[in-house]
Amino acid sequence: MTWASRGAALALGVLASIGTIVWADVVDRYVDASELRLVLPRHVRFADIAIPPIASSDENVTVGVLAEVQNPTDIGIIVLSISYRFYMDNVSDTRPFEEKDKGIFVGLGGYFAEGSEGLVQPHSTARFWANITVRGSIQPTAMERLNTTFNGRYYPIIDGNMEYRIAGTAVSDRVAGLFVAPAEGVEPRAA
Amino acid sequence: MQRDRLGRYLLEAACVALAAVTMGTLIGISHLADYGPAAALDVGATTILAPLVTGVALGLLLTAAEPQPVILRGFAASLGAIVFVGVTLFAPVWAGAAPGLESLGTRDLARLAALFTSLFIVPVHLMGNVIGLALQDIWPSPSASARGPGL
Repeated sequence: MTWASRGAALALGVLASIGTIVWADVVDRYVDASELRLVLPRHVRFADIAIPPIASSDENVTVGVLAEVQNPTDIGIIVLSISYRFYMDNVSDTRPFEEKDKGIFVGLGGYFAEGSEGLVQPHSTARFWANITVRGSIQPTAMERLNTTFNGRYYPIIDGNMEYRIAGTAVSDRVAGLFVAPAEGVEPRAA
Repeated sequence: MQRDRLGRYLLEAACVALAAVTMGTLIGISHLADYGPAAALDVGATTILAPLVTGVALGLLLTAAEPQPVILRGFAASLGAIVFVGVTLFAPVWAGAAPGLESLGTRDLARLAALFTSLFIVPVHLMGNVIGLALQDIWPSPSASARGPGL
């Protein structure tokens, strides 16, 4: 063998080794990330809604919405934001939601992560408070809609979505259609 | 004598396999740059350079009396690399993580185009083989100066 063929053999061996190591790492992440993107929509939900009792129409009211993110896969995710439209249902209005949504809309709420605080490790569950604040003094209509109760209970409706990035990758995706409307309503209580 | 020939064939097969793995892995990961920031290879450059470099290396390694056997082995390495790229793209499906690439969205479905771009491996790699063979004539080894068989 000439020095050229020795060099060629060495180059092939080195390139194949590096390629295989990096390939295994990348494909492993590709498979895990693909699984995550398919299963995650079934593992994100709004777990709790806390609406405090409203004493005055010009106070500032913060509604707490607890989002729960379960990560059943082998790769971490970083929650970038959870945002939602907050409605307060008027149960005496029997029209479907699509027809009355403009009249019961209160405002936009959400959670926006700073840095890596939205990290959800593999096989773990994380909860995030995604709040909405209604300022009665400058949002009288929103406050009026928020302060709608029936038999002492609120009937909120939340329609949201979550944006996330898969840890260790540059892949971002969105879980849309996170919808919750507790049929039995929620009792007034502070978050 | 027969043992030497078998050993030579095995060594040549190993070289072809190494070339296929090199091309397949590098081109495969260049299409999955989102999944490994450390492996942010440019698709176009990798699709040209990886087959060319491995083609030259294979051309230098496989000594034959005629260029045809080297070209055939280069073709086999190219096909192996294309299969490797296919395995890479469909890994989530074969691993059971996804029912199909279409279920992952249009961006992942668009990766199927990688299979078509990987067809460029064949001509570029074969060109590399020919360059490697030509370089053998420039740097002939004592044993290969007569274009005898063997590595």
